[in-house]
Amino acid sequence: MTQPQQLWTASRLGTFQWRNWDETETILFHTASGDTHVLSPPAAVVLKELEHASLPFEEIVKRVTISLGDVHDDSLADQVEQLLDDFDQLGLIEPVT
Amino acid sequence: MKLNDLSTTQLVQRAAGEGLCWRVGPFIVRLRTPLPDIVENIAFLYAGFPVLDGADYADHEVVVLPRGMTGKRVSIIADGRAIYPSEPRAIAVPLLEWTLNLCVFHQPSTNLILHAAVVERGGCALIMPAVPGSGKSTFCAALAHRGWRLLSDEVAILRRTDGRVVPATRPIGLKNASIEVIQQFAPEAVLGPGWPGTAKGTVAHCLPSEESIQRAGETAQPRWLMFPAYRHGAETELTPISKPRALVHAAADSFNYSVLGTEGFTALSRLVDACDCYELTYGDLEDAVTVVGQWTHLDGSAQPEADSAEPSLPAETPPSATRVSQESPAKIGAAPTRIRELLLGALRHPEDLEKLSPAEWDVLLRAARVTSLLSSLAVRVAELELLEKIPDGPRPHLEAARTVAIQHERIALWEVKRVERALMEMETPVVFLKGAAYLLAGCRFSRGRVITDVDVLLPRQNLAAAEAQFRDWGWIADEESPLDEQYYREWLHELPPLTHFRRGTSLDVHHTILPRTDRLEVRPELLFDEAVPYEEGNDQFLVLCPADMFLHAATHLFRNGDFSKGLRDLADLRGMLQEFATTEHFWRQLVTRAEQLDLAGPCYYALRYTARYFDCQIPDDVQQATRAWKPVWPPLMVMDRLVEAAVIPRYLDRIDHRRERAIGILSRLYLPRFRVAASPSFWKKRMPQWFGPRKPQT
Repeated sequence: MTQPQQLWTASRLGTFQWRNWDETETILFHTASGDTHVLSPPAAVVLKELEHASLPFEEIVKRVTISLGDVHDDSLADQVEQLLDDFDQLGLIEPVT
Repeated sequence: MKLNDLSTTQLVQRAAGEGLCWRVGPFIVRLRTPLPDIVENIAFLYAGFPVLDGADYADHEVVVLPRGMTGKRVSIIADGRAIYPSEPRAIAVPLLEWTLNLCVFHQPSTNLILHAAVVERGGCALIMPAVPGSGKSTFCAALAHRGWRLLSDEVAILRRTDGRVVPATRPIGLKNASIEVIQQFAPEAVLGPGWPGTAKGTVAHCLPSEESIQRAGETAQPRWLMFPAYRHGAETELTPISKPRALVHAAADSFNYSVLGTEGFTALSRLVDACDCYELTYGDLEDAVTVVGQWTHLDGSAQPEADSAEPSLPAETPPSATRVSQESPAKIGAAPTRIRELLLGALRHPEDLEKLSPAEWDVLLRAARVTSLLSSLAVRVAELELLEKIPDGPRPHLEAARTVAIQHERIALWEVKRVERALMEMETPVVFLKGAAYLLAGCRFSRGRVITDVDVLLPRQNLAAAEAQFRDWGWIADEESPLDEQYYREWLHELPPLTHFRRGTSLDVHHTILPRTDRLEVRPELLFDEAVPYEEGNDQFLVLCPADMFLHAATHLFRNGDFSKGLRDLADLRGMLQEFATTEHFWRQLVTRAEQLDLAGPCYYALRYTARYFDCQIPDDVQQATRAWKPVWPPLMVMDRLVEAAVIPRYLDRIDHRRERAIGILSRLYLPRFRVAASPSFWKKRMPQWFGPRKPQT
């Protein structure tokens, strides 16, 4: 479970390279790990936001909601939490200590 | 001149002597063998290929030698390594073809290489990446007999500079039912003999057309990316796929995408940008060829204008002009002294590498590969700004080795960060060892050292908790037998190796630096006491202090005894001495720590052999202090001979049995398993298991 006050940021090692060919999927290449990821729109939003700022969980959820057209979805917070956990495992984001 | 312009006698004489050289794509390969039947078969398969006279440099050398008394078995050696130490002579030809695949396509490259068949029409390339068994070669052979030019049935080489496909035209390897399918589909196809009994069943080779061979220097612009999959009885179906999916799919079919890092991503993105991307499922070859023909015609993009600006390489003209020399006699099958001289010369005086001739590089490249020193040499050459002065033949190999080494550094650093993340919430010191530690400590000597795994040292009492953390973060223990597992945990200095389930990288977790079976006893707490942080302000993650780093490297080499990379490890030790000796008190600390840690013996050997092979200057007072550590002469003399035999290969064109024996003996000198078996507790534990009541099988 992500601590609400925990700040998250994009991996400080390496950079992200983005490729977009259509609306539905985004390709992300992480130069530090050499991994290539296919991201859904919410996943891409989370990473793009964390690329520019360190944010707490609530703020990330808020920004994803806005980017998806302010549609209120009760499951969105759970999805974002899962995304953060996955990204942390993949080394794409890290907690700010 | 082509191979079929030479008489059988001439071919056999060349192969048995200086070597038979021809071009495969951008590479020159050399075959050497005293076996005439092998030469005749290869000459048939490569009949129309240009033969190179008196080439004193070849990118790859394959040697086929008879083995055993009966003459029914062969050894196949490629670039100094025994790829097939002993195989039936009856299948030597397909094995030789697979060896060529390995040499030509699996070596480090700065170009992106996909496991794919490629054909071309009108200057546009159709690239078909696929996993083995998807019918890629069969489909490729079919297209090659319906007006497409064959570029390769095995690899798509995407040139780094512009993304064009470089041909690597060779005979197409067909297997089992595919042989008959192609014979029926294209009765005009010229096939070599079938070779039954290989690991993949019966293999036959379909010869490329005259045109494909003649135009082997013409690159092609990628236009279509298609993923073929044969399904028995399936309807032909050509389905568009999204570019992101195509990129991920193609990346999975690449030999070196992950190693190339950002350059690989750039190259693959450019490929996907340039291509229409489809998946093809087919069950009928004729139907599939028709559909693909219509597709590539119908969109109007296959008009022959794409290649107009291509600065093509004439097939007969080698891209490396210095490679072929009529005058210099080929120095093939280099003498042992020559190999030694070249290797040690390159390590001692890399600034002189620019003076080497292509023939000398021919030997040095192979010797450096065999001793795992190529990437270090390549990085050194680049640091000295000598790359441009290296002959055209070896230069791409150095560039590729350097690229790979840089990417290995990136991968190792990434693994370090993942280890840090996994353990950051634990209150335990973590000491990184060996290659990763050299990198973290910023050691110059380790530049270019290929790091294959990450090693960490943890206090023994924290191992269980750390192991659980590693498991949570995706590292899983390699499958070991229960006995091996027990052996690791009871007797060795490390846990069974861990592999990351997603990245496939290895992690070795140590709790000390010598097995418990070793008579030397190192107290690991002494290592932690002197370890130093590599990042300011972070006292949890550490590397050994310089003296301990040297002692650990010496201990690893001389007690654990892996001498297959012995010369590289000695070069590391030499590098440490050169680098650390500039710091105050290093020598004094080294002597003191060697005694404190009970590692005087390995330290003595390390100083002895670095001085012997690299002319390292050991201060007089250190020599004086270490004199007491010198073993008595009989073991020392044996050790001298074993180390000499193990670290420097004597031959590159045959199996170096003396070296193999020496490596084997050195790895068993401190034989932990023997000591385990000799201990009473081993038998005490085993006897009830072997002779006691057996558990019922379930």
